[in-house]
Amino acid sequence: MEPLRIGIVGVGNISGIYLQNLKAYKSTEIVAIADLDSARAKSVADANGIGKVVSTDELVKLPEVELVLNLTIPKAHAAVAQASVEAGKHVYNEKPLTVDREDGRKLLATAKANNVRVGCAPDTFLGAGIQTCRKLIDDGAIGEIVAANAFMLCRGHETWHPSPEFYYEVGGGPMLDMGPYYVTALVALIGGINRVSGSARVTFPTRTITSAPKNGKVIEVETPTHIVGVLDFANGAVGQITTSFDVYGNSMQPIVIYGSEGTLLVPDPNGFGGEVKLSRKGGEFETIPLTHGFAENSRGLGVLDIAYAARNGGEHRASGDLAFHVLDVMHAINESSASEKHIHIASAVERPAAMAVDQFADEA
Amino acid sequence: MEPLRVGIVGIGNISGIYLKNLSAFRSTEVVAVADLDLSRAEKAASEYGVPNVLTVDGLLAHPDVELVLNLTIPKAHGPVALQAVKAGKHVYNEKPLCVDPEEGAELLAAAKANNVLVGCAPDTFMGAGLQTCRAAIDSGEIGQPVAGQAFMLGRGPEPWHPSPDFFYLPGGGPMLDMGPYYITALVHLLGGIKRLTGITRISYPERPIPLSNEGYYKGAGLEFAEKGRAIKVETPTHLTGIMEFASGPVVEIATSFDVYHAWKNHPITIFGSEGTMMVPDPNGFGGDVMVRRHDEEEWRTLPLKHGFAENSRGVGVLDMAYAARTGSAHRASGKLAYHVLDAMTSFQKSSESGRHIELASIVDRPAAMAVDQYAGDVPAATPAG
Repeated sequence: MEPLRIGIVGVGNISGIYLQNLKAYKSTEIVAIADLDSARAKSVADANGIGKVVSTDELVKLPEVELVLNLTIPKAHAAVAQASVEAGKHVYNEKPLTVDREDGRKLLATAKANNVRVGCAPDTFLGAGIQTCRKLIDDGAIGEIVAANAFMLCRGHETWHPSPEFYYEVGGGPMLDMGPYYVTALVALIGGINRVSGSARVTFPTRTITSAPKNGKVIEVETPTHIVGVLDFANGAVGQITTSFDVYGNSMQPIVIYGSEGTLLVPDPNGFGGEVKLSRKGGEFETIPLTHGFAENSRGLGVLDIAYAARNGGEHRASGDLAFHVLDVMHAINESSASEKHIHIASAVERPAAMAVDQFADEA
Repeated sequence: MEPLRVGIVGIGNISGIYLKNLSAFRSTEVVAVADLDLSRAEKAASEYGVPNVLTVDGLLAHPDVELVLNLTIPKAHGPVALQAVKAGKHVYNEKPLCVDPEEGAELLAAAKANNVLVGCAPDTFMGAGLQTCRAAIDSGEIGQPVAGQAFMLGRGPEPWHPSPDFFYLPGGGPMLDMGPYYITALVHLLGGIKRLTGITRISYPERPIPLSNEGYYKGAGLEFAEKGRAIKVETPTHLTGIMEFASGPVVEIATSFDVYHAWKNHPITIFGSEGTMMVPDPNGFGGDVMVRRHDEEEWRTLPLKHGFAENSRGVGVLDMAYAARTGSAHRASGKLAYHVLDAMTSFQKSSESGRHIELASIVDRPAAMAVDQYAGDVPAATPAG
């Protein structure tokens, strides 16, 4: 299969792992790089043997670029992606798809009109950990899914992150930051969400940075930092999700799925591997060996999946529709708290197709 | 202090521990028992030396009875208690206070009009475990409480319970059955609930009673049942919700008869600005209180300094004895139980109406117990703590 030719916009921290993996896969190829910091773009291009360093405007129009990998900051996701699909390119965004739902809707509509694909991180759900869980569920190991819990609990990022302000601005907060991993994993395992309700709270109106170099700077908190949602899944299951920058946490699992015949402990959805544990009918939890590939950090796997879909037809898994649904759910949880109403989620999705045990095995 | 004279209505399973403790406490005395099954009442009376075996009406009218301990089935809690307060008796109900909040409001109003006290189980929050949690929170062990979790998850009582039908009828379900322990404990630790939201479901419309439940099939005269029978479910059996406490914390709760795995280590967690506390099972008086402050690697078990670490059901009645004699406020009060009932019944209303629900029945935290509270009431043979 002819490799899919990729241009990357934004070569910040996260770009390293994408560069490493997309260079290594047989069916993806990086042909151009753009970054506002052209020196950084140049040095990344040199280090990775990539011939072209261009501006973002140029990159989305380069004839040899088939897919734009959009690794810009969240606020820029919409504009760069929109320009890409308008130029007839497939696009794959880092999470979240966009900050606003309106931008996300427009992006998906334009992509459809232009017959190009939209993909979006996270693709961790394509990894060995969550795919092993998916197979267990599909094989009936826990029976019918009844309920689920998801927990992302931490005390915020101002103790270690050099510039943590954005976590506490509108568009930040723990749900938009980490929720994509958790909600995407829940949808990949259980299916689409019909209705949500929530409570959201600004626990600490100010936060003091204790990391270098801004040690002592006080941040005004503009967005809820403790957000709890309850979820009605289309298949009847009931879920609960908590994301927090306000608590020190306990030792609950990141995700628990309860079925009529047993309980499944899903590993950290911000990773590709991890430990899968299963209890049948309330018995002791046993660790289940991972059945699938991609247990290591395989960011970019969702792009590889798009390469196959673009060449061979069919649906790709880490899709714009899935990411939009996740965005819709995350926003609705916040809005529900303010409007005091349960919110129906219009953007129905099906579970993305399961990965085969040996899916893309010859790519790595 | 002159002991408070208690008459017990309903001598079922739970009555044994009340009879034992209320006979032992110096400030309470069981003076009468009544049960629809007279032989059961007589047996209890002879075992605990109770002087009067009466009909329910007879007990409610008996001049020696100052407080009616109402251990009837949940559906009868409201009517029996209302009759008691109208007869000028204090009353203490097993949980829940009543099965619907209107009944509870009527009961509280009637008690006020008749100048008598209403109390209600659970009183487990007065035990050493939850009082140690309370003292630790009040002394700033975990800083300001910020959030919490409460989980009561199980796969339902029909595999073992001799008459499980009522769990699946309106007035049953896991929230009304076990929620009182969890929500009362949370209100004791964090104060009243201001607003809540919920999603509830009936996961299984029918619950087959396994043939291995011999108690059921023998009790129902079905020794020769071949196929077993199933209970039709008429109330939500998986309830999940979020409670916002007036003091700020946001607490998620799930109660279920539909899932395996009980999270026995995590019945209740309280997250504070400085650390986290794992609260022991609120359906008990003792248990391990675990704390981890932000600068600690390991969980630390707090020593229980308070009394009543053993099964002390009835300590809420003892507390009422002091309230009745001295005019102090009793902790396991009708007002607290009404607030808990209001919260519990609001999860389903929220799910069905698609709205958050503001609770009008706001309460303050009941007073903390002193470390040596009522130590003089406990006979030396069963020392406190």
